[in-house]
Amino acid sequence: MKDQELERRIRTAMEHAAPDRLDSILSSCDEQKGEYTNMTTLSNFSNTTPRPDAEKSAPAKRSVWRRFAAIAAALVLFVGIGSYSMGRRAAAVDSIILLDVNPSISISVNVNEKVLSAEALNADAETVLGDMDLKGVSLDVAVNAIIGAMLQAGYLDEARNSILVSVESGDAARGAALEQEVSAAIAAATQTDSLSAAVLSQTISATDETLTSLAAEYDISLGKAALIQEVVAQDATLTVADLAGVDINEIALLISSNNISTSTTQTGTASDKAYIGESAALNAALADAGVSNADVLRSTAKLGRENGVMVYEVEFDTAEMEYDYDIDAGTGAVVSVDIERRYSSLETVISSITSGTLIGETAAEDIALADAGASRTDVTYLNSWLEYDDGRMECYEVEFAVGSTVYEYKIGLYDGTIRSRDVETRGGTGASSGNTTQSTLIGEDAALSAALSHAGVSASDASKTKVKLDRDDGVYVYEVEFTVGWLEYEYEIDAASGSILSFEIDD
Amino acid sequence: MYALDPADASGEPNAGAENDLRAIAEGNREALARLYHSHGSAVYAYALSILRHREEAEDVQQDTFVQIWRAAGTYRPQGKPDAWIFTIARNLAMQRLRERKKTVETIPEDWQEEFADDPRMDPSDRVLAAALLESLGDEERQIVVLHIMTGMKHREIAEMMGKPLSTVLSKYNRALKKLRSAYKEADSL
Repeated sequence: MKDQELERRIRTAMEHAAPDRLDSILSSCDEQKGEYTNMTTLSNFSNTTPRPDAEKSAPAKRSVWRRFAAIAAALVLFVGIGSYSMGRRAAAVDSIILLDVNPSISISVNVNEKVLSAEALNADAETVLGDMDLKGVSLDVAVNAIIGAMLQAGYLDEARNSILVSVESGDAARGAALEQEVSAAIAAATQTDSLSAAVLSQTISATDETLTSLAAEYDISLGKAALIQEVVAQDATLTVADLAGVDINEIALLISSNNISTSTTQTGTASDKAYIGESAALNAALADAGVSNADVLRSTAKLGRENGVMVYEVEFDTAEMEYDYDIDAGTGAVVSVDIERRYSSLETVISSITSGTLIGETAAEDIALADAGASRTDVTYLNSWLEYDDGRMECYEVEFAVGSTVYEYKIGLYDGTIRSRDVETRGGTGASSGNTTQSTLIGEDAALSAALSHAGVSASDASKTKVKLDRDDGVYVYEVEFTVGWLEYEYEIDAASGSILSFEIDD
Repeated sequence: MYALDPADASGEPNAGAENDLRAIAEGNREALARLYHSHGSAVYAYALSILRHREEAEDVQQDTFVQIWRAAGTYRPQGKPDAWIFTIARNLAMQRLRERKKTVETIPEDWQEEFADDPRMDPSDRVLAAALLESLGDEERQIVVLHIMTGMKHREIAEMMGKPLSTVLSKYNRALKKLRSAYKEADSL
């Protein structure tokens, strides 16, 4: 089946599921237009683009709008802008745009996107705004001026390039438009050779009580509170108290390094130039542990916070040990370290018993051939090699064919034990008795006994025992699994004959 | 929904929606009806993919078009009318999600049963729509709906959702794989 056909069918299904509400939409629109006309008649302000009043357009948000309007009215009186020269709609706060870098600034605009006030929400913002007078200028000009001042004062640079834009509007469409506009204005203002901003944008609601109390408690903007709330909900190692004092750039880095999903839209990449980087952090940890890169089986490094500083959380394993480091992201110094012994692997146990002498490929081939009852002259092809897993030797693999039957063996590196065997007949169903019907099956108990006796294990030593009947290419097979100590055994037993089709032992 | 944009045939992507928005800003009701026919079911499907609640998704569809009617004048033609329209729908749906915390809406578990009362859907429609709503992760579902219903490119979806393109592509492919088995079931009906 083609993807296009699948896509078409899903489209049809969803089209059929969608309601037809056009009449109801048109009648709501008529009401809106009526109210709008009414408003313009009342207002002495004429706007070139017809827009309804926020109060009329979003009844659910009426109380918020009233609050904004009251603040705006107070501001207008206080600063003495001639309220008689501006219409009601022009003097009313339509939306609030919050800019967070570390400086946190709140810009209130009217429906024409003219700035009614720009307010510093923290001390850094006071430095940025200084005696800048933005009242009455258009929003994009104000954003441009503020970003310019942040660049000049060094709050935004190559190493700290992230800006959070949060739009609070009673009207979702206006909010979406403003979000896009402000992000575009910032991108334009920061497009230099050395700096390309990362802009995270979101729309927020001032009616969310959890958010407003969080913002008040930590003295941060609603926008930053909304972002932090989402981040800490997904990463239990991070706290609101810690992140409240952290720049947006660091929060953006934590988000991307830990794959946290937020409802913000992001353009650009947060700069990590202030930090040493993941591979340098890994090297610092390895150097401290005295472990060479070649001995590392697995490693991860990601950004996190520890005691109020940015750290790389570095983890790596060697054959014997598990290392857990916190490396200061700025200096590369070791902040904390935790080392634990790993569960011994099968190889290390066997190698300690056999003093680590590999049996060699020829010996592995002989063991496999003997098990299959075949000789070197019988085989049509024979191949063997050392198998590596995650950079360490795992076993010998031996493959050969006798007639149309293909054998695959895994042979222990030091003691020559058969770790797994797989027999398959090409074009057929292998070592099975063919057209099995369910009535002639040996039963689960017999299958389990066959596997246990092959493994040389008594039933009382085996735990996590599972037996499942499966049909593979028309042949019934019992899949038997059990665990002894730290070894896991997996068998496939021919359900008719009880013969062992394949087995595997994993540590 | 018909072909997404009648003007697509002219080779000018989204010119239809762009023109409709301009006419809507001037108070043209026919343009709104046209936009509803071209984008209505996609907006509904997108809202449903976020909310997984039929009545709420219907409300969001209606609110989105009422918002478009009121705010079309604020749209700046940049050749991205779809991104604008679906951002409005997304914001309205997200607002519902936040408000829902207080009211505790229940998400249906059996979507075939949920759709059983819808006479426009045949049994195979129900199987496919249910698979979309039951078997996919939140982001997978939204990406599939945006791509299939709106014809938005994966790159545009990545931009709108603020995700890397590679993430959107792999989520899309994984989602289609999951939907293939439902398709086989639907095909046998």
